[in-house]
Amino acid sequence: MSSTEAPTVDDLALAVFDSAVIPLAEALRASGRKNYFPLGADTGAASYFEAPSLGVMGAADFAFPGEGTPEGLLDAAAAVWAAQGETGLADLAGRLRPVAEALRTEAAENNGEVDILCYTMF
Amino acid sequence: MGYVLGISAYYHDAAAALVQDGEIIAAAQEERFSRKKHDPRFPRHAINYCLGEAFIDPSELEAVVFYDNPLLTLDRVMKNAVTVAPGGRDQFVAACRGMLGGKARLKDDLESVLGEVPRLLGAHHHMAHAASCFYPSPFEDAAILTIDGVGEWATCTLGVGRGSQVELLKEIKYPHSLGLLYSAFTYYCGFKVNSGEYKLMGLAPYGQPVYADIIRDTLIDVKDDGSFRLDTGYFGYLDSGLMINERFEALFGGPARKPDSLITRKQMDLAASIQLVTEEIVLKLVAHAKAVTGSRNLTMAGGVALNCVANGRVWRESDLDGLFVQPAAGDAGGALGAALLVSHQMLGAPRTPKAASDPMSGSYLGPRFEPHEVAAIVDRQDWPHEHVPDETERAAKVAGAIAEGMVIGYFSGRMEFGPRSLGGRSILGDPRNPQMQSTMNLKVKYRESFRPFAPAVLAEKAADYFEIDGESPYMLLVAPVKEDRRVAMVRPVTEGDDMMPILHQARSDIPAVTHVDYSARVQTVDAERSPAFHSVLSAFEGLTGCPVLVNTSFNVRGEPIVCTPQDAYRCFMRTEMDLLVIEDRLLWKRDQPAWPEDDDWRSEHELD
Repeated sequence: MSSTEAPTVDDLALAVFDSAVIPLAEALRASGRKNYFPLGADTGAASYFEAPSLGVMGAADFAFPGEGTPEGLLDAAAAVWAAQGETGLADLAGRLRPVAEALRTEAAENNGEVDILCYTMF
Repeated sequence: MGYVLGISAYYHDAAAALVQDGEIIAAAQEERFSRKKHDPRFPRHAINYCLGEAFIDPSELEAVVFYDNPLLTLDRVMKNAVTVAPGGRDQFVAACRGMLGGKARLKDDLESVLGEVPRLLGAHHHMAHAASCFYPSPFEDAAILTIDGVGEWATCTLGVGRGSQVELLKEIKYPHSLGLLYSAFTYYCGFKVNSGEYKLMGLAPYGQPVYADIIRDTLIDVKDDGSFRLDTGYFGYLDSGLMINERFEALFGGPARKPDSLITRKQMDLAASIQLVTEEIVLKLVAHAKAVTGSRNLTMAGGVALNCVANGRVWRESDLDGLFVQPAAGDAGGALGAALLVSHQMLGAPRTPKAASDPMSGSYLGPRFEPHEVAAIVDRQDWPHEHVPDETERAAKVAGAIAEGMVIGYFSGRMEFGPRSLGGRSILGDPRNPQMQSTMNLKVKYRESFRPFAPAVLAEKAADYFEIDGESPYMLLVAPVKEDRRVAMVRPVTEGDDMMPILHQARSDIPAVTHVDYSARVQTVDAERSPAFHSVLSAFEGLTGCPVLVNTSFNVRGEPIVCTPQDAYRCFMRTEMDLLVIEDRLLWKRDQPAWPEDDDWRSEHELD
């Protein structure tokens, strides 16, 4: 990439990963906190069921987060993570804004192929 | 008014559904219009169809509801990234593209189709699945079980429906997923994830579950209540673009089978093993759902609910009073579930379940073409045809052609919603013909010869042919062929690498629809839901004494099921079908002009 070219979406996303995600992961491990989710079995557990995040959808629960825009989605995510005490993730949301803006500029045409990552729901 | 438009999109199987005051008006998958299998794009064609079916414009919509909560999905994706970092670098880029690109611009997409966007709402993914199976069911109360790959954080939920309310009680969270486990084996056996799962299920009866203990001991820990956790160290989906990793390959002694290479006994045994483990888990989950909810009715949705072999065992072994599986159990059905959820639970539409009526209308919820429209098309295209307006006479001609060994493209009424053809857009054949399975697989469908076909049977005669108690109108239950109709197989199903000698053995007096384990994926056809199809089956029975037909989807391998008469004619002319029925017009292949086709049309459709 020459110094006059704008960074690509991939460049921007990788920069966020290297400068924000990896340090967050390192900090998480250094703090001794558990992962965000278990990675394997717990032989002592009687059940792996958990209470659902939402049992019944009331009227307010149908509000669509972020009003259908990437900026709105990131703002909503930042607010949720801040409320959870996840300040690192809340900061990460702000750092993803340039990625979203670059994606809007790129506006790649989807040809209707199913993404190979569809099963992990990206 | 009370019109609610439900939308699923951006991952796979985009769809739209329209509900008015709790009543289902229309539903369709985008792939049927775009002709791109599993099309994930914003369903603009399906939305336009739904609005047109109700003769309304967007300003008359009370709300639009999306079937998934992108905030919860983003939460999972970012927490997954932090969990696996510094691994997962490339996957993070893909995740950013996915979550913040086109998928995050729902508002733009809605505006491009609807103009001013009505009230925009969102449902939770598994709540939409739960609603999609409970609300259309005939039950006042029922246990609800949803199982899929993943939606937001959940991969499996257990809930209860009562009257107009759906409540989720328990869930299992990502990355522990029965759907993703099954898909991992789909990938490892050389089939395409998200569409090859049916092949794996069809392959299972050729094998022995010799790997089941390895799966139980190493990959998944299952508790007595059916809840489970995977050992994620064997899977690739947390930090790569693959379902599995080297540890998984080492566990099963080598790399994944390459697509379209020879299927060997190893794949047959792997399929049998993961199918058995899946069935065991589903049966435990159902037992727990019954115990927790106290209900003897069960409704199911989510992609795993399309596993009709497991569903058949649930129905036979779980001592239920009633079972309803949403025919569009995958993500397409989420559009319908989200719309029903808003209509009943948010807007307060009453729900009055009746055993005698079917709110899904037989799943015939898509476009129809009236006889005068078909006449205009065949005349304009100058397709030679025979006009047979009398339904009884038409059914007799179709039945006669099938009895002579012909293969029929059958296009009648509204298109089905969901992955199964149920007589609206079907290919039909004679199940008594020992060559019919090979003929239809190789000369019509252009797909692997091991794959079984399903029987459509007159509902009132189903018990004469299959060990089935009750109805199966949506082809979502596998049942054994009755003992007295079976023919002993000379060659054991577990012998050798070559499936062909096994396949070519007669297995019953309806060999084309009897799988190698004497099972069949049954569709019961009744006159209320499917009057025209019922007439054809009745006429065939009158001619032959057999009330069963081969019924397979009207498409070739990798192609979406046909939607329009033009799609149907194209598929008819590209294959070795003998007769095409489009409503009251019969088009005989022998009368048609040569099809000006280039040779590479099969490359239009990516193989599944």
